[in-house]
Amino acid sequence: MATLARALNSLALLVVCAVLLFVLYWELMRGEFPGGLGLQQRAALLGVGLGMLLNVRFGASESHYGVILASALLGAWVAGRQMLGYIVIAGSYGSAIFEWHFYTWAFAGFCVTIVFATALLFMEGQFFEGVRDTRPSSAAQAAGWLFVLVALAHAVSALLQCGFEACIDAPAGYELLLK
Amino acid sequence: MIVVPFILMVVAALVATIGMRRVSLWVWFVAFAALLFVFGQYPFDVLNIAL
Repeated sequence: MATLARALNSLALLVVCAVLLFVLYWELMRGEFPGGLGLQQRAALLGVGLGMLLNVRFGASESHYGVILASALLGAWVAGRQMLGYIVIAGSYGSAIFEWHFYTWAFAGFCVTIVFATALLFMEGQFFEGVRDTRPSSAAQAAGWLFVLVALAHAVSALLQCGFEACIDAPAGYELLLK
Repeated sequence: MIVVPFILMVVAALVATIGMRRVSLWVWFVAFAALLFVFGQYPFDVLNIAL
């Protein structure tokens, strides 16, 4: 049971990394920069990935799933706030992929994450071993370092875009480089 | 301000990868609080209209 839960967490962590890399690609290649709410959704997704990383690295723990669920709830809240905002003004922001905008995908993705983490919490056998700082497998270690690098890339992107000030809603590029 | 939770998330992921679980959880907690604070800065008037 613990092996299955760890494998599912590893897979989910790779999906989170893939999503974060895709939005970074979209930002750099298509020149579509996220607004303040979009950056908050990215930070919440980093929190989701961190919870999965903790499960992969140390074994399953309720607090690790708490990190995933709290981050996903906040992410869904922010994405929902952005969706409602655009519904009110009958507008949208950025490109649509398969007819959904990024914030709509984010809302759906965070909801799926909540269902996923809740389902995994029912696998009680994974908690019997407890958390251990054992040497992780090379695959788990590689996934962990990949996540660290992706998170670092997003932190640099956010820094170049906003500096230490509040972000503008529709940025034209990396504000620090434009100055 | 949004850059603060990003930096803290990187630190949390880094310390988790090198084996410091409890430190990682505490850093995530601070990052989460910072993220809530940033979200709280946004106007909610539009949400009141939508709801």
